[in-house]
Amino acid sequence: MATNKKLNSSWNTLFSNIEEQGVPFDEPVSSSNVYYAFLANIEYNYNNDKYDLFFEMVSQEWMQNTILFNDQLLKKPSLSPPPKSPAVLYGIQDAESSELIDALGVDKIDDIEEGAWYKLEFDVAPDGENLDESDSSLWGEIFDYEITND
Amino acid sequence: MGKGPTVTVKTYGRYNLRSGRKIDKIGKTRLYTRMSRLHGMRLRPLRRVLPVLPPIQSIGIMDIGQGNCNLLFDQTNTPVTYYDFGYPNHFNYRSAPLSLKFGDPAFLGPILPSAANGINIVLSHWDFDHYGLGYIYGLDNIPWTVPDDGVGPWTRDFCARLEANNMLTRVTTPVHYAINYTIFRCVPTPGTAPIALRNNRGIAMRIATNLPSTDATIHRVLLTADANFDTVPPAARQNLTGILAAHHGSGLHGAPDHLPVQANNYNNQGRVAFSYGIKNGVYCYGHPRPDAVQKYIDAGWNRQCSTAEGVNVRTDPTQANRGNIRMGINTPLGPGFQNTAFTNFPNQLD
Repeated sequence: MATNKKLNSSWNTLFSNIEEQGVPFDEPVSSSNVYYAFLANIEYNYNNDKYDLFFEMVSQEWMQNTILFNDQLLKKPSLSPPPKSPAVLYGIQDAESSELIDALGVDKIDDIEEGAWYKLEFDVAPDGENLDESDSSLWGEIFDYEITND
Repeated sequence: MGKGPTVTVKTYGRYNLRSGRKIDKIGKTRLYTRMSRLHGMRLRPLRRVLPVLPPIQSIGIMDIGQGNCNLLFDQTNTPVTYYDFGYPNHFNYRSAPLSLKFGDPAFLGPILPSAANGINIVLSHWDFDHYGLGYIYGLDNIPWTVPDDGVGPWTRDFCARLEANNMLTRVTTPVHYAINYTIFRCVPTPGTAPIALRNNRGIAMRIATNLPSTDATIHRVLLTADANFDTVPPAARQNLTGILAAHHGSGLHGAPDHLPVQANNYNNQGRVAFSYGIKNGVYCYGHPRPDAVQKYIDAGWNRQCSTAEGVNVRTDPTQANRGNIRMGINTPLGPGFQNTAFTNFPNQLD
């Protein structure tokens, strides 16, 4: 337990240091529109020969600062689960297989792996504007559930 | 019952997936270890194999819409263990019955596991349609037995609460014998496509039970959720009189192939339950596939019943006969389990 407390303290120090730089650090939406995304589910739809996908995502900014590039503070990561992340979900419904293959850089649709991590880049409509979604089937929604248990 | 949790969806906007690339485990191990690895307790093999104890009396295949949720009842007709506690994902919410639609006037909610009633959860794999009810209800104070597989950051935060409460146990052994069931760690067959690996490396459950209920001989039921039947050892596929159709009746990646044979004296009398959802008259993902349904018949699994259509598997999208299925003896539940979405069983495989 003493070890865990020490490591948790390291996480706190890390976050304090970052907050002192004046950068918000719990934003689920990436300022760069780049995310580290875990493919939680991909399902083939026989009805229309298309695919539904769900990614669990964390912004590039959070992942790089907290997990990937912090060797000094976190010497023994295996002993300490990471802190709660600002994770969100990204769901695409009725994606064309050819577009998925192109976007994810695989040879065939079966090569897309559930339970693997991907680095994803997105286009987003600027504030107050709408982008034409007709030229891509890979438009989806970033969302999260808000649950209140009485 | 109370009105249940309030569930709303917070959206952050529409995004177009422009490009992406898979991050290999080699060279990025900290992504897979720090963010995905579960730290819960390991489930270790018992030193001595338990004898077959008085079996499970019946198994509920619950109607939750598109997903899976199975409930084991012991010899006193008391619910003891869930195998999966799922809920339809965001796109299939409308397939849920009114009794499970949060906010609907007809909402009743499930039989909730709690420290008081001692119900535990065994999870086949980390798909929301297999664990969603547990997530929505925030059930981090009851025991979960889960596959030793990675999770995403959104699920990881829920798992962290389970770990903090010492409620998460990972299955790390090929076989584990419990009081009321046996757990098998599924192993994908060589050549399984990456897209199907996760479904096929979860955990399956085999249950000793009186099925058919008129036969005092103990037989077995095998539940594999989304995993193919050939992912469990051949020994686990013996003496079966009941199964759950793999992957909601899918026809892809070998799901309806390598079906087990029935126990002696029950050739062509096997009981098979299908768990799938229909929304607005459309079968979610096209499950179950008609050709897959036929393969089960061809393999002797002729007594068929579904949560979405009763015995009219893949023939009645009006859902006139939707509802929970009881595999085994259909004794009405006691007073402690009334007025829930899981109280009544309009469908039976006995």
